[in-house]
Amino acid sequence: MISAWPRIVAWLLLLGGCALLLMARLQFSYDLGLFLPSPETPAQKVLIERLGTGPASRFMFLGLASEGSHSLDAERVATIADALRSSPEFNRVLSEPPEADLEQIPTPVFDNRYLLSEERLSGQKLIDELRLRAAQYALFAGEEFNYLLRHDPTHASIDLLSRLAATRGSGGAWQTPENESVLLIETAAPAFDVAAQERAVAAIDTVLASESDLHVTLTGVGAFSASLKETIRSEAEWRSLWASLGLIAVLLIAYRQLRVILLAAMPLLSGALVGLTAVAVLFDEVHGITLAFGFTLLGVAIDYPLHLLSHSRTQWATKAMRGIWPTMRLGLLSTLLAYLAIAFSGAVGLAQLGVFTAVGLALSAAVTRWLLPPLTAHKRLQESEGPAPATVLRLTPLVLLLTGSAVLLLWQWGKPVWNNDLAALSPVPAELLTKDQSFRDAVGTPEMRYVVALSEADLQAVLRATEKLDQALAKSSHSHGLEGWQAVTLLLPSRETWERRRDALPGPQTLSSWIEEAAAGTPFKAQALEPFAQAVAQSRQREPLTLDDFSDSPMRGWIDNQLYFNGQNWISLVTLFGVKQPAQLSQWLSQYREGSGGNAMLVDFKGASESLVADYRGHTLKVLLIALVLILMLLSWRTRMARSLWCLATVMGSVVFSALCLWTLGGPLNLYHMMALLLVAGLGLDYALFLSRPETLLQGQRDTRHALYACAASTIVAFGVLGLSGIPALNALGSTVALGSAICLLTARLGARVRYRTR
Amino acid sequence: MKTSSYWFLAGALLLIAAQPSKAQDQGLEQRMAAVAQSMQTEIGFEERRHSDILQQPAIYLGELRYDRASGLMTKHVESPQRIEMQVSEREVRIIQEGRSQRFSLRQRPEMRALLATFRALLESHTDDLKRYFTLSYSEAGADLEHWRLTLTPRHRELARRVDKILINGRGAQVDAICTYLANGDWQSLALRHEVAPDMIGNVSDNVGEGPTNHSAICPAPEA
Repeated sequence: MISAWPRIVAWLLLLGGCALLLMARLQFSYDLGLFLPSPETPAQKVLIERLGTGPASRFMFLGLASEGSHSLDAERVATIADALRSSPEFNRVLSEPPEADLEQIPTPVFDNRYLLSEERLSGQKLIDELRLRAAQYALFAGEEFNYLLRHDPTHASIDLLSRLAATRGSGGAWQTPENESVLLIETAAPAFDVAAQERAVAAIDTVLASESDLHVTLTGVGAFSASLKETIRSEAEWRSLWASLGLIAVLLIAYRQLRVILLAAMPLLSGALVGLTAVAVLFDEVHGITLAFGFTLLGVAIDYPLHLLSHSRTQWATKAMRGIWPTMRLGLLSTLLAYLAIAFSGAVGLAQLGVFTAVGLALSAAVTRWLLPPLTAHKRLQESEGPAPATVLRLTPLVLLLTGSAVLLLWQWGKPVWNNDLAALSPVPAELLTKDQSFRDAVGTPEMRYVVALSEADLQAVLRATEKLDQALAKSSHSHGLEGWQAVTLLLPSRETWERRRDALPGPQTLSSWIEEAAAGTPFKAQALEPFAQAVAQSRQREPLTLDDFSDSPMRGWIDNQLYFNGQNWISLVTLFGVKQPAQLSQWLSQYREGSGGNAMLVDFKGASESLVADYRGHTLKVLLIALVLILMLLSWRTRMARSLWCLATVMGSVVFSALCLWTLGGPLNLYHMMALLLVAGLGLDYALFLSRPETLLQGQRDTRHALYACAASTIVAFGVLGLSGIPALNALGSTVALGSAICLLTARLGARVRYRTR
Repeated sequence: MKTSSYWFLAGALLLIAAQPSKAQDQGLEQRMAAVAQSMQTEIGFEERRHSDILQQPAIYLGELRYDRASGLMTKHVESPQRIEMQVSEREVRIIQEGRSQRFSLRQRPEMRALLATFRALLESHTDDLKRYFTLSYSEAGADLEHWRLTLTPRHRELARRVDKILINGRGAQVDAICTYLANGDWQSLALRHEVAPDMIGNVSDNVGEGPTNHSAICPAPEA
């Protein structure tokens, strides 16, 4: 024990140092883009750059339904909307299409109203508009009418505001076909600010607390992330507690001593702490998923102390450790190879995951190797019972596995193997997603799935290209089937367009004669339109609007949604409304590209994300294949070729069979399944390596099997508890690992047959 | 544009035209009861608007309609150009040259309050009216046949737009509604009681008939 003190001190210092470093440096990020591989196609680039910031990502939708699904009283909905409006968490709360409100029109927009529209001011136009105003004067009166008549008799500003509106569709309160009233709520904070979204949801709950007879549905990116954070956290905590209790029970049954809990936890926790520190030091931010997946993959580490404990039941722990270390080291190195391969697979998030697990596992093994033996108790020391019988490695179980796999494959032939839908990773129940879509349809928000993207190195070039596309879209509204669209050039025209419009504005003499002529046919005084004449005269002097002109404007957010610089190019995104036939639109766009050049392209966020997930999986599988060859080389360097091949074949066979079982039972596999299968491979390799060990002593062989049963039992119990969860991520992880490790153990155990010799 | 803020005036006038208010004052109570009895739900009007944006007063002729069953109020303008406004509980609809445009009433709390008041009035709940206006009633003439009801907004939101509203009548009929806006503009709406029931809906036959002396009924605001 005395010789252990320096090591314990060194270990404590390491952990303390790591804790200090973590406190100073650890920063979490929840940007999913970090976890995706480098985008290859332009569409994937746009996806990664705009993830979580796309049009309408700040929108929440509140569906209100009465008991018998009758339409709700309009006054009641309005009262609820008013109550929500008073909360600082929301920018806007709407229950129907907003009216253009002159008081809310931003200054740069109002000042430049005659330069932000293609509609040309002409004598005839002025006559027509004033005639309309005269008719409307029969119904409206008051200072607002007078102000607008004086400053903007053609209502150019109103027209501009209506084209900037976030929703389409005619007047009237929003309702779904099922008579649900829909409120559109724009949160003040962006969707990824989960804390702020939680406050927003709480504010909504407070308002609705007194409306207990209403059936309330809240959807939207922010609402989902807020409610899921809570659900997942409580579910994960609760299940982790039970999984830990199960694990402890297994350990107590297997080893019958209390300190085993401490000994089993030490390597795992030390590994996690040091692994996390390594990530925090190497990267600016640690992704939340790194931690979640990382802890899962680190699960292999729980097996290390179990091997030691099983083998120290009848001998000194230091001696036992020396006996099992070569095998443990082989398993560790193989697993490290696989995890390091993942670290170099491309995405920042995966690199973090690889570093975390590799460093964590190495440290766990080191703690087990050098720190645990002196701390391990020896219950009863006894001499072994003679030499162990030989172990024969057989292929029968493997052949059975492969046959089973083939049967499953043929039975389920044609069913998709992989689920590429990023939404499949989302634990949002499908019915809520359906609701969300029906609310969006009712409100007429911009299309979430499609945008048109244009890209140019120069800002003016991309603005010109956007204007050209805008005009083409307007000209052929029948052939692309869009209900509407919005482009940044609505507020930020190109310099050429600006100058053309400016030059087309009438001079003071001309305008004055137009005004005289137009006013003559109405009761209005020509002199009343003097501010209008001045505004036009000022417009003739105005320099083109730039991005800076909007820096303090409420329109800044709108502009940022439509235009951004990705470090190399300016990207202009045309927001689409009512994409009924994407194929038709895509075809129209390709014809447009052929006809007029440029690179306008339909970005399908869903398609791009799916291709991204597929690419990412393909990439990871390729990297793992290389890792597999390296592992085989490593194994055959240290052991006989036959044993290496048997071990790898057993692991691969078990993993493939587990995957096919999950696929047959639960449908296409997703990212979580893949991560879990990686852990299964790591566990399985250890099982195979230990079971195929050439043991010399009978007791050693018994201890090895004892260790493996304890390892497998703890894994199956702990992950089985997670697997029973309804949350897709926990369910996929838990069921895959529990099933996979059972299959691995069974295959390895049946394949490594002990041939007893009678003496 | 705050288009909706204009309608509240129009809507208010419409409702006043459809049925005047009752007040606590005994004389007013009796007068209003009489007016309610004789009030037609369809009635021609001539409206004159005065403003410094105008070369001369703008004159509009048309018809006001109120449908008791649906609560729909319509201001139909026939001359100089045809345009129509329909005010329902939830929205205002403007119909011009075959196109119809809808606006919501709900985003304007002050207008909602006003319309609720007038609706309450039509259902004979007069207390609501006093929530929004201070009422003053006077009678004049040898036989006290001429009367005037003055409405002054009680709340700032309303007072920002309207100074006061005068309702002038003779016996059981309302002759004119004079509205004085906060910006100095004013308008007089004269009702034409001589419209025969069988001529309703053919407003052009009614307009321009009958003696109306607007300045006599609606005094110009003091400068």
